Amino acid sequence: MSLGRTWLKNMATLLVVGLLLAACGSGTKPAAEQTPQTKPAESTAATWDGTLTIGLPSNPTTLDPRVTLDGISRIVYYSAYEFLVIVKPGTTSELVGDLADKWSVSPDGLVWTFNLKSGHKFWDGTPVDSNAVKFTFDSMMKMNKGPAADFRSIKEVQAPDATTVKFVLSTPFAVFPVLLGDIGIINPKVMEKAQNNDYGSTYLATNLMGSGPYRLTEWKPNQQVVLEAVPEYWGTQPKAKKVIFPILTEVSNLRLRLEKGDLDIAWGIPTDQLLTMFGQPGIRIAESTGFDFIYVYLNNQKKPFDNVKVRQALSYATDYEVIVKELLKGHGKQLKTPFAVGMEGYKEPTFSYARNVAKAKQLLAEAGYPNGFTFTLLYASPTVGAAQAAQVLQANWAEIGVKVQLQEIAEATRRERVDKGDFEASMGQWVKTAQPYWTLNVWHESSRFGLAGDRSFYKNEQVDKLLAAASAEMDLTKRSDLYRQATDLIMQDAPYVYLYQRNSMLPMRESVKGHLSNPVPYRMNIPDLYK
Amino acid sequence: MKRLRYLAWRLLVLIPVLIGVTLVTFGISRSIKGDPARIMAGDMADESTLASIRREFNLDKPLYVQYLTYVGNLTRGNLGISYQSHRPVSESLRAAMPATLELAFIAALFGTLAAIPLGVLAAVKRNSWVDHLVRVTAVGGVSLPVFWFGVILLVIFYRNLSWLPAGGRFDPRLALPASHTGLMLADTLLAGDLAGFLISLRHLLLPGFVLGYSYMALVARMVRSTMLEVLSQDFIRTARGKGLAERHVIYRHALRNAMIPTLTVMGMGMANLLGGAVLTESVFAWPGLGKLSVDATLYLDYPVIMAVTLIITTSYVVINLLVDLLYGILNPRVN
Repeated sequence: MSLGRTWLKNMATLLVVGLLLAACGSGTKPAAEQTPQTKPAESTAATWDGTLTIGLPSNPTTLDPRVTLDGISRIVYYSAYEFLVIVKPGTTSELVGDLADKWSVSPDGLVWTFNLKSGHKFWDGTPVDSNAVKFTFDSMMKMNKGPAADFRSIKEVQAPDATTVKFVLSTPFAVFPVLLGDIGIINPKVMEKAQNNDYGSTYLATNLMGSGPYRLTEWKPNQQVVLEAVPEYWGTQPKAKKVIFPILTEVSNLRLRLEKGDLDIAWGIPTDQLLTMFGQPGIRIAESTGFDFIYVYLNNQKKPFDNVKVRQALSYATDYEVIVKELLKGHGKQLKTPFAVGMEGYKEPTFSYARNVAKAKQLLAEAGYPNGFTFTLLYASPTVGAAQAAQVLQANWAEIGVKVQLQEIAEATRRERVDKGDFEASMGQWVKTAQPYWTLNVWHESSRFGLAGDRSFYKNEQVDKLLAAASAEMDLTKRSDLYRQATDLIMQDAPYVYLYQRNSMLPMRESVKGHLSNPVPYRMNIPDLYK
Repeated sequence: MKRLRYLAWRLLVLIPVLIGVTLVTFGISRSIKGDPARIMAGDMADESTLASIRREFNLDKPLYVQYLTYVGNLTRGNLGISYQSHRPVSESLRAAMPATLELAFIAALFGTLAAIPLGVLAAVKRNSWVDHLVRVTAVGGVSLPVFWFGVILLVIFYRNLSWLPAGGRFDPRLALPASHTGLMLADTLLAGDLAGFLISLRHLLLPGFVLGYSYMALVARMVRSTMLEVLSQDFIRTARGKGLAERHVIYRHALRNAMIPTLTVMGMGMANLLGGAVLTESVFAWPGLGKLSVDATLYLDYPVIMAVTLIITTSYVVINLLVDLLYGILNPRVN
């Protein structure tokens, strides 16, 4: 027998044996994975095993609510902890008590008092009381990482009795309660796990000690995280007994698994792919007004963007309709002003920019740039949609003689350059809650130059005064009026080019029920989900 | 004895190589613009918070002090704390290394088992349709981008045919086997769990094939070209003239000599499998070193970057050493 035939015979044998072995490797897998079929087997109420599978695009960094800033970690721990207050699922800004029964603020705006509900318990049976709340916030401020920066106004946390917590602030801060929705209340017994004065943070990086309906039963880094319903949970048991979060960084893998039915919900699919998934059989995209903004920072401290007419010219030259229609396919809207649609107290603005090329050219000429100019626009590929929007802007602004050199750099490098003001212009993205504070104060107060928020290095003393007054104003109507006044001034100054506000879109199988939208997408109401 | 002395010498040389690698990696990682303290603390952090984090991770010290501290900790087996997870780097490595080793092993096994016979066949059947087929297959291996090829295979074998899983090391709906070695195949066998072994094997097939395909292509081309060279030499003519069976001539004489230069390529290829599986690991959600290093780079997680670089460098050096030792066995004249 020739060499070739012998080899072919041997390889064929190996191949057959290998495939047989592989095909037999079914173990105790669910039937859906074994049966060759092109349509995924959807579970019905009668067949559902009580497990939800939610794909995540990256590893949680740390599960300690006092330290973490990333949304992925919050998706995981949000169902394991309880919070003083939360935004009511299905609304954009209505606050409801989670641990808190009611809350109030002193007339001077400096003392927030929260009265806790009774009956809430940590998994070991310890009551969730004011000491647990005080411990959580005190330790967070002492560690001084991540979310602590948002709470710099806290002077002191008091626990006068078991069901009362008082936050004493150094300055009035109207949206203070909203911030509390990110800080899960931790069982103080975590101090038994503390090492090297870390307040238990090393332990909580990979463990949970909360009072919510789920606890962590498994975390294999870069593989999966598993939550299971807590039998000792004080409240109503969640519908899903087990939630598996496979970590899938590759978008195509996420999407294929969702299409096949091996995922129930998929996080991290970028907008351009989401837009092609509408109408796909078996898949539903939960969509709602979002607070995910794309905008352009123009360095107001550097020529030519130190000239207001130049900034206005760019705002007039931008084709917002094309961006919303072609890049978002209508799943979003122009960010007409930083007081965005859907925000607390929103009303239609009195002025916003619309494309007017003639006006843009006129403004440039008045600014001393009749023939335009050249500048570099930075962007980083992790900013979803930034590259596409930048290309549209390059084309739009070329029409008025402004040549844009697009420069893609690493995100960490872009952030450092923005923080130091070492740039002319940069694409930016911002995701936050429905309070105008996060776009108006944070983006425009001159005390926040750099990454802290004012990334255009914009300064207007009148705007600063209005924004400071607004953030301290407890009455929503008055606060909104102050914000609108500030917005009118800001729009004249055009410190940024405000591009668009993207809808919140989360793809899931049609069989998944109970999902309620939330303006901050990672706050998923997992305990209410079922199939 | 000579071989032992040689081995000792090569291991000794490893030390300055590793020192050089730490120096270069340290220098490059510190030259990347970006502030790890800012990444850890968030955008809203004030200067005092940033200063506190820098102090905690020694980022406020001069670079040479940071480097010496790192090397000092290294000699005590301390790889540092990950900026991202706030956990010891060794923990991340303990989780990722077995995954990469297992994938690399399967890829190398497939690649080697396929490459050598294919290369020999192509050489023996030069310019025939068999030779052309092997060469086209090999070209595919070195030119098809992994992120495309892997996804296509997922579409075919996972989505359309439902024959193989979409990735990961095990079925997420089943309990993971008890971990003794971190190698799923080994752990399931140790536990006597044949069903689990087969599930692990199924999860390895697609990523192993994709990763092994480029390795197979590299080695097959090398085997073919060295075989062609060897087959044209006088001693082969002599062997045939002596009436030896063709199989004997090809495998005992020609291939043995052709393998000597091929070993170098195989060694480099295997080392590459360990460190270069980033795309394969991403496409197939394989939680190995490649994935870990990408995340670390994006996050400016210096301790993890340094640790992964050291491991991959050590792998290259050790594999090179093994290749050199194998030379001596294949060709005693080298000794």
